[in-house]
Amino acid sequence: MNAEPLISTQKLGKSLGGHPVLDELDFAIHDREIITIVGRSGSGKSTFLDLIMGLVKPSKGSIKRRAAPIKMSYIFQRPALLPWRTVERNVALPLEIEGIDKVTCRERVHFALEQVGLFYAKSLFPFQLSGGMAQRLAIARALVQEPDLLLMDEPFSSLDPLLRENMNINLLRLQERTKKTILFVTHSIDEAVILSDRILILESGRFIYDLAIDIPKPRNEATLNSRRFAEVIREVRAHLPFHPNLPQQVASEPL
Amino acid sequence: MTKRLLARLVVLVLTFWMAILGWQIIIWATEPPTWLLPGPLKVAQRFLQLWESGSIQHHIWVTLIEVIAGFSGGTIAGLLSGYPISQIKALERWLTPYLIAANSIPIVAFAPLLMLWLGTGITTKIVVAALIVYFPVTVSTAVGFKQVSSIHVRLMKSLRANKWQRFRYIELPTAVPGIVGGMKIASPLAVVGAVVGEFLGAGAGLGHLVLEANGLLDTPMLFVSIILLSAIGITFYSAVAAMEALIVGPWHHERRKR
Repeated sequence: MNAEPLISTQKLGKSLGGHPVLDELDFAIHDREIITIVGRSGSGKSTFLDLIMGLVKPSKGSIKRRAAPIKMSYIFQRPALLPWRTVERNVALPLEIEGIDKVTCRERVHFALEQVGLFYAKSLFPFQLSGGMAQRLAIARALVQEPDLLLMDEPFSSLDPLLRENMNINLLRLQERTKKTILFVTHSIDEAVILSDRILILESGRFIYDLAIDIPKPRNEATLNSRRFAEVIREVRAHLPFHPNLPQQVASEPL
Repeated sequence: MTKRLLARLVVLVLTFWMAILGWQIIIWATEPPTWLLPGPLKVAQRFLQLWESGSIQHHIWVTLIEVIAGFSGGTIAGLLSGYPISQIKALERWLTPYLIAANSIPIVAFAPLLMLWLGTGITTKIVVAALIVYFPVTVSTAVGFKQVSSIHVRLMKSLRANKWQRFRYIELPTAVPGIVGGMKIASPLAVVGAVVGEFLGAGAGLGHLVLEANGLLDTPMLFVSIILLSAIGITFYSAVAAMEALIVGPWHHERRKR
């Protein structure tokens, strides 16, 4: 494990249409860490991920990457599957874009599908999948790129609460196996607590709280019922400011 | 799947024969003169006569060439202009009013001008057919390419795809159902275009045969021409629909529900 962070930001800021969305963000993520950014809608969470991914340029400050190039893959709120491609070919898309040869591509796609338990469904089309399967497919499409860092932007927010818990536990198991570094964004405190090594609370474009989660690993379904889990949730909630009136929101992407 | 297809075919054939039977019953009941309304048997006899003399094959062939060439030309032109219209906003704003204006002119009014410019040869008929096909294909292509969703654009950005990869992996497949839909609408119109062209002056073709039969009061031959024209239209439409089923059928949710 490398002591130097995989990615760090120094006084990072981003303005959209003259309005500052993010300001003075100092952040660092190390190998195998799961960091979750918690914040309300419009707090700038997705914009932060876009900055880390390099999809948008910062207005202020800098982003430092340990060794170029760091491979990153992005998992969106919606699975963003291509309906005209089978499960297998959806996963193959990033490799086709990279220009990877067919034999290697096939091997990597099958491995990624096995990782998320979707190998049996490789010939199905997206319309034949359930919401959870579709999101697992999006995870497989990210894993197939063999990324150093996985950026996950509220990937389970459209799933029902039970399925969401299930997906969280599965993601933890997957991370134990693959040792991936994950930067996760959510507005669910429960989700953040079960998944993370650290939680950062983002409010009005600034990190207002940084909490290391000391719940022992490996975590599983039983963790969800533990006293420590409930305590940490209370602690996080206490640091999330309550707004009688919702703050002004700036959408970073069209809905 | 095959069972459903078979059932549909049976229904189709049954309806056809019931219509023919109904037609013949009207003839038996009212006994109209042949020049006014020939029965199906008379029409079939006339068709066989024309077939044996070898003349009808030539007319079918000429019209088929006009339809296929016109449809292909109109489709290619529609695809080539629809794509830039979908991508460049200024082009869309400038061109759309002219396209609508051009499409509002009935092709029958426009065709004599084309004859003046291009003569009475087969080119005029092909151009008329192409023009009539051009508009729906252009519109459906432009609309099709605009269906690309923002989440797919973000995905391609995150995968660092270049412009060509974005076109190949996202834009084109997104647009295909719309484009094929436009081609489906356009396919029978190509037959209309070819016939309009032939009406203005032609030495051969089924449209020409319609005029000839009309002049000679050979109503059975008129019926033969009309039936053959609609058969060409149906065949053409079915070919495009089959292509659609092949390309879009396996994955398109809405189509799979049917």
